[in-house]
Amino acid sequence: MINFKDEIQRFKPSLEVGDIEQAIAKSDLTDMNDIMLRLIRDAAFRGEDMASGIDADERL
Amino acid sequence: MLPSEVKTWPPVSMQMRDYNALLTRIANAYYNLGLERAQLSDLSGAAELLKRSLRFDKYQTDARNLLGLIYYEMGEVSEALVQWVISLNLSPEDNRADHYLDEIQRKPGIIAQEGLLIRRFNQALHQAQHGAEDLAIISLNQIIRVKPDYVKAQILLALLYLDAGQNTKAGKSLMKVLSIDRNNRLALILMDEVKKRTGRAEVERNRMKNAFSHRRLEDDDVILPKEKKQATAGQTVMHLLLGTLLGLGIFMLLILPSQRRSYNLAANERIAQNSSELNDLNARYSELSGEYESMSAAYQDASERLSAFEEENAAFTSMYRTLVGIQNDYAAGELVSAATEYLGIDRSLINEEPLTGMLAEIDRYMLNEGFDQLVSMGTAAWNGGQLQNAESLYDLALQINGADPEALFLKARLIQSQGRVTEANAIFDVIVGEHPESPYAERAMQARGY
Repeated sequence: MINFKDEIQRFKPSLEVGDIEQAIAKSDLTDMNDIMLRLIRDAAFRGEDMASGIDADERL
Repeated sequence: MLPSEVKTWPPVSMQMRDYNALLTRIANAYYNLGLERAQLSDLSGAAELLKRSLRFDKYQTDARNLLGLIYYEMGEVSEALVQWVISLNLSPEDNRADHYLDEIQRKPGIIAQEGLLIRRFNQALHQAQHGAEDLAIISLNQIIRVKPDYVKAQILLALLYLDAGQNTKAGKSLMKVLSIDRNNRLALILMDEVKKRTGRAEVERNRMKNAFSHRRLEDDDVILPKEKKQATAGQTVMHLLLGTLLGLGIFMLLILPSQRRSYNLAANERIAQNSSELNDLNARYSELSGEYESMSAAYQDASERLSAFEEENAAFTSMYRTLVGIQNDYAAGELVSAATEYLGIDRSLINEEPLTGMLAEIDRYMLNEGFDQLVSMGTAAWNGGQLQNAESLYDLALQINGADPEALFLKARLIQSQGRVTEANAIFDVIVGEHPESPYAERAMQARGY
């Protein structure tokens, strides 16, 4: 059984034309590429640190 | 850990190249799936897939542009613009988003109108969420009349209609939504509800059952025609009566209440619409009253300032005319007139240029040449036997400069010759007392008879 009142409450307002600029500025454009790059760099740093005996946290 | 045990890592750039290629392939696959869904009018499904594509590769320009088109198709113009602007920023070269943005900018009224409709939708949503469902229904009807492809507005309207028990109207809105976005989840759920309520679900189920039934007639099957009985005249009349009564009953029980209900609903809608318009008019009236009051106050203020300015200006003009008159009279040799006007000047009113400069100039020649000429004119009148005129001229000169011993002495001598000895003596005393160094002091003493 659908609860109409609940469904109505779930509706979100549409983005107004005046708020477009703000919406663009707030857009999260992170993609998997960025995430992978960060992971690979972190892993590479960790490898170097282990080799040279520096604690990874210390480098950060 | 020893260095020999440390795992060696390939260069970051090399690893990234592999991952990049993989991620691009995944993003493209999602884009292709999204495109397929969009071609089948499954816009919400397509939008989900395109968003996934962009999570894997934000530079998948086609996916972002198509996502913008889908938002535009569903009436979410602002969301579409966001996607196209981002797309153009990420890939400025040879980007179709440029064309879409150009198309919108070429018709300047579009954005303003869309903005207005979106704002009205948000207001209607607020009304719906805060207990003013009637007003929300009216607003949403107005919105979809202008913009029937506004999916969100159609679904909200359908929800409100369903809540109010107006299933047919809800069904109409949902049909429109499903013609734009055929797999819209909420629209499908609501449409099921509409069908359940109107009995349409049962009809469809039966139709489907018949359409896919595998029972076929076989050779041995015999179709027996039904026996028809002939009705008597009485039975026919009875049937006719029963039919009429049944029709009347159906009309009273089924059609009349629904018509009355729809009439009441229409009347309620009209009342709600009228009250909304009345509220708008009241608000506008209050706004205009406020504006009228503030403008009246501004007008009053400006009027007072104008009056003050005019008064100041009138005083200035009058004084200017007086000074110019004195200058003209003096230049024309009308010394008595010039001196009389000069003595009548109210100096407290002269405090700004060019009046102060003009007065200084007049002072300069009235106290010197003007004064001397008046005294000479007085003496000439005396010599001509015009004693009264001579006295007036001396008085005028003494009003300009009352401390001049010569003028004082001449006036005293004039009135002494007329037998007004006491008055003359008083003036002689002033000369002796206040100007003892003057050559006229000794002459005054002689004339006084010391």
